Amino acid sequence: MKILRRMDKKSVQLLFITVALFGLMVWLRGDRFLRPKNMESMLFQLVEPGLFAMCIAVAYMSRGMDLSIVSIANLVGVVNGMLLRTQLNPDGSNVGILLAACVVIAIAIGLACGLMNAFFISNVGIFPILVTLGTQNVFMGIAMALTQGRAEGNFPQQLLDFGDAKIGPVPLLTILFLLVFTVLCVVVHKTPYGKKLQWMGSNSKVTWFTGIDNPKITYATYMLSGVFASLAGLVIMARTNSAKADYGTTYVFQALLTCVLAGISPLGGTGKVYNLILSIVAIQITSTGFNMLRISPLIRDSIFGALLIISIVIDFVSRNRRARRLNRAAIRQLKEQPGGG
Amino acid sequence: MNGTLRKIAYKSEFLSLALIILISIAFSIANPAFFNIINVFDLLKVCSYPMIFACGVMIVLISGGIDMSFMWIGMFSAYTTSKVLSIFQMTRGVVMPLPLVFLMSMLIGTALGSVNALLVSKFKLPVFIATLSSANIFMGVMFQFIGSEYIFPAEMPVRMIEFSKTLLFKMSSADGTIVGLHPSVLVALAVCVIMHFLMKYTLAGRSIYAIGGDQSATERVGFSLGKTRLFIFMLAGAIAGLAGIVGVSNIQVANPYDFQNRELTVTAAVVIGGTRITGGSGSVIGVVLGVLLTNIISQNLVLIGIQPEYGKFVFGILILFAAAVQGIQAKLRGRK
Repeated sequence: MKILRRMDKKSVQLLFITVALFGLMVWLRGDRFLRPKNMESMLFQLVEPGLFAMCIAVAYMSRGMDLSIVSIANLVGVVNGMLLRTQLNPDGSNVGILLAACVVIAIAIGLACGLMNAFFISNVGIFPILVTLGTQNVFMGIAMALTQGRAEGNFPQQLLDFGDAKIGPVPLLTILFLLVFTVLCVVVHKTPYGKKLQWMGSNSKVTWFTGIDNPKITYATYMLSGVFASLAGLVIMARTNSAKADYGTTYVFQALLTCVLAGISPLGGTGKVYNLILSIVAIQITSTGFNMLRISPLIRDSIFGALLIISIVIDFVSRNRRARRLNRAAIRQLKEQPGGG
Repeated sequence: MNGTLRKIAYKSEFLSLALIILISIAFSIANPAFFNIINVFDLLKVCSYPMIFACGVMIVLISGGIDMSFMWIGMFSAYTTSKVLSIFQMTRGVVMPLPLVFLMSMLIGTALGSVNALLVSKFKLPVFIATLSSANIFMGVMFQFIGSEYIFPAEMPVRMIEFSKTLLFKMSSADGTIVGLHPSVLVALAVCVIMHFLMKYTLAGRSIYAIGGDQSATERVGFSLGKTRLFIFMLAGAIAGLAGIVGVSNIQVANPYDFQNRELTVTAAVVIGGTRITGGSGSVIGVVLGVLLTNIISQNLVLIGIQPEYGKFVFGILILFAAAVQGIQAKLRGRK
């Protein structure tokens, strides 16, 4: 109990939600839900939404928004797919070099896209949501123009093997994801950049006047988000064996939801990134559960919407109650003071 | 003279007007068929219901929030109206007159809009988040409780089909086909005119600008934030309901997936027309120009020989360009 009290309030709340959802699924469909195969596929599936949620999390921290993430991921997939299709020798002798090139290209695309977003946001001075709406269309448009709307596929077996690889019972991709996630947590909560990011998110004017280089922070933030998105693009390639310019556009909504559920506010600066992992797991349990209960994806989205509203309303009510309690305490203190009240 | 010119150039609507003129000239050089009367009437018809949607988006944007739910409010209202009326028509032979059809859809839209208002003013949710989630809820409720199948022209309310087939100012073009102005254009025009006067000359309209400019100042002047919000979202809902029913009538088929994922296209058009995304500024004239501009481009890319695959790219560049001009304008104003 003591540990629970010392933990971040949001973490406790999320932990309860996750455990409750887990219990609910065990109760409803325990036989199928607890199967090792299902656990494995859940660990496998949470990687892409997790990476996208990380993109939104850094953008939210800076009081920004990044709608272009899924387009970046698809652009990475499409470019790499074309590279593999055209450059791979028939005997597959150069596959190692090509796959290494794919990773380099992916990260380069992520950085470049992030750079473009940041340029428009900080140098031109446009609102982030508008910039990334524009670049979302631009990136998707480039991918569309490159492929004429067709899907790239038939990637080399080595890539697919990498996607399927496991260490013990845990998929390799999930382990890599957790590594990247830990890096993000450390970066946001333990480095000077992270502190500055949070300060800029809560009040950019103040950070500007204290001599923090806001544009630099903005550049770092959107480039970071771009890199996470490009990693998601690689994961999509390895997992689905295809890449398409308009794949998975609903991921953005899910990522927004994950962040807000984890207490990372779109109004910037607040929230703990490590809570994200709990909300990613909670959402994965919910969507797997809905699949098992044969609930259609459209209904799933609407229940996600309701979840989102409920979680914010709970936040609002608890914050209100805390404020009222503090108020009362302050009044009492005033009354007790001699000569006060 | 120089001063007047500069004043015009600083107007936020100026950009879209200039772009419309430039692009029309460029397109008509590339393909003389651009100024064909058929093409113009067609463009106006295509613009009609996005234009109505855009008016609703504009008032929410001016009040300082990004509405993500209007497309689903429109679809929900239009689909429910068509479904209920088609059932009445099939079983009892009741034919509802057109104004009542529109009114019914608007009432449903108003009710859904008030849900948004509740979320935003009671629980202090950011408008973007509140409407994003309410849109998903509306969608789920519609698919679960009202229906998800198409309603085909044979089952649609008769008056809606008649509306879609009406043409005003009929004339025959050179090759003998009859062209004319679609009445939905007049509906859109009426909405725009009413909104223009509402926003410009009434207290209610000015309070929307005020709330977007500075909330706490608005409250201190004596406006009730809650009531203003309720008014904004109910009005936006009613407009979305009207736009939905006009759109469904135009297409003649109630397809519940029709408006999916088009929120941001309309929002972008409104922003291109000079409505500030942070609230407090914008005009109906700008909205009209913005919608016209985006539709001229998306409708005519094929006409000048650009592949439809490049449409997204062009649209994205347009958004960035228009937003960049606005950003630079704001910076210049700040420097002055």
